[in-house]
Amino acid sequence: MLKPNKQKNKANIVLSNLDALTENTLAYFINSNLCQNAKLALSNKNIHIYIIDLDKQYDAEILNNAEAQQQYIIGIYINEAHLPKNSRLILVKKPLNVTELKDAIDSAHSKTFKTVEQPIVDTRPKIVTKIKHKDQAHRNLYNAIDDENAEDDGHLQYKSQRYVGNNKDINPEKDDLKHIYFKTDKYFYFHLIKAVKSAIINKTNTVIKSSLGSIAYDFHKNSLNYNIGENRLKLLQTTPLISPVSVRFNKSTSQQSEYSANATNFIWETCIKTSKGRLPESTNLTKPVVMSLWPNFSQLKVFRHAIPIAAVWSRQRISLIETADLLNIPQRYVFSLYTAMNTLDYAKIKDLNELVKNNTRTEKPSANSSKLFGRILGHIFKRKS
Amino acid sequence: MKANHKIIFSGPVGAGKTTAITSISDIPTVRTEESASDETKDLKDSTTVALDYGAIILQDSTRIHLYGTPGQKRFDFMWEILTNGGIGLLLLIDGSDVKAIDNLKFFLSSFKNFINKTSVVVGITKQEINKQYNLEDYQKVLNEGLPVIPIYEVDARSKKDISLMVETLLYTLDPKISI
Repeated sequence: MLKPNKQKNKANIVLSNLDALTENTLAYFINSNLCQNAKLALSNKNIHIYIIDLDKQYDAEILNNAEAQQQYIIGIYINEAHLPKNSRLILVKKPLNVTELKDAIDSAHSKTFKTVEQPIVDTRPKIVTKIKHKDQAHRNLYNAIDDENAEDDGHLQYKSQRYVGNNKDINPEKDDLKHIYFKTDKYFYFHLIKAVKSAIINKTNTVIKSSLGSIAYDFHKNSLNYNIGENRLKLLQTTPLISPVSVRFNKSTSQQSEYSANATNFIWETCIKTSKGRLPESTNLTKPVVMSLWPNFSQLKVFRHAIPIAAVWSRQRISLIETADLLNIPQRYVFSLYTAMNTLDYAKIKDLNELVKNNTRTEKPSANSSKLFGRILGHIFKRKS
Repeated sequence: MKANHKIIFSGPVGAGKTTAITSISDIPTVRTEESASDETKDLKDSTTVALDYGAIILQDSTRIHLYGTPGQKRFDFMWEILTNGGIGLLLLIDGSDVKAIDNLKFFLSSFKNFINKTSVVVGITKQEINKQYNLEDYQKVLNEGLPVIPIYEVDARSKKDISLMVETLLYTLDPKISI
């Protein structure tokens, strides 16, 4: 029997019949601090919730057995034509929305752990109603959204979030900092930049092999060539490695490849996607950032707030936390940009003495200038000024 | 009376100043070009002898004047007059010119006082045509320490690239701008 102790119990979730990208994203969400009532099931025992894609072929037994197994099914869908009817089915419409998904999980969790006292009598499928959430930054999930069509504010936020994740701001003196750090060597980008730097020193081509495919670095063209499809590439860029990476120098010409990218641009983007608003382990949060080179934003992937952050570091030596405070933006934007800039040796954290720290330019522009600059930018981006 | 706001475009002959102004101006660019008759003859058929003028016109009709300085060094006496009261400098360097690095040094030095009072963003053009140096080579020329000067590879014909330069210029002057 399930214990009616919802303070301690987390529902075990199994992700079924989802595409790799959706599965990866939902796993990321469930493991994040946004999802407090559930965790990914480690085994086939004690499964409380399945998340299935109703638009794809799914295992009907999951639905058929739900009642007997006292499980809930969260069915994600876009096509309303043939939705199954089941009292244990909670429907969430695509594109997935963090708030709605969280509500669905919370609802399933609460019912699961109250089952003994409150038997379910409602036989209709439950459709989670759309709730307007104040924290708009958390609105959209990473995938299951049509990237090409939406150009509204929500979509722009989604685009940003794709790079900087969902992490909440932390107070370095009070909060647990674990979730803002990642172990660099567990991710592909770390081995990639190491291999490329080594190839440059040795003036040779190199091949980096991972379980998801190989990437060849062409020293003469500073390009990376690969035959890895979009979804697998995203996995390689965003998830921890499941097996070690091997690197070998390759003096011959590079492999025949379907895709080719400028190495700097590719590494930059990979760093940002890996970072997702986090920092390499042990990055100091309170010592000043020293910027040495301005990123070539005309070629590199730019995300929200990247230019103002670089502008701050180009003129002042202040810490990561101070930067976010100064610009009044979520820390995750600062962390993502720093991770990429640090990887490419554009910025690092240094212990500066007061003399150097005072030698920075901090004049404030007049309020009128600021207002004018804002209007010019608004005009340039065709927004109301 | 409306205040006089201006952004200065500078750089050597053929770097793309006129094109860059045209790409973001809300009015047809006024070009004071005429046939080249001096050392610029080999570089361009016609060249800016006085200045180029364009403007960004905001919703309340406020004009942000876009001035392109004459590229020839012998007109450098005009540069100080043009920069007076300017918001900042967009410096364009022709990346296909073997003297590109020297040009960058020269223009940074010539506009030193203005840059110190305001800000500068460097755009290297024509990198796709006949690149003489990598971006890293230009970056080495720029002073170490603060401020770190933004430098981009740009296409002067691209509104997106020139807008990026303007955006960067404004954020370096005030990172806390809100749109």
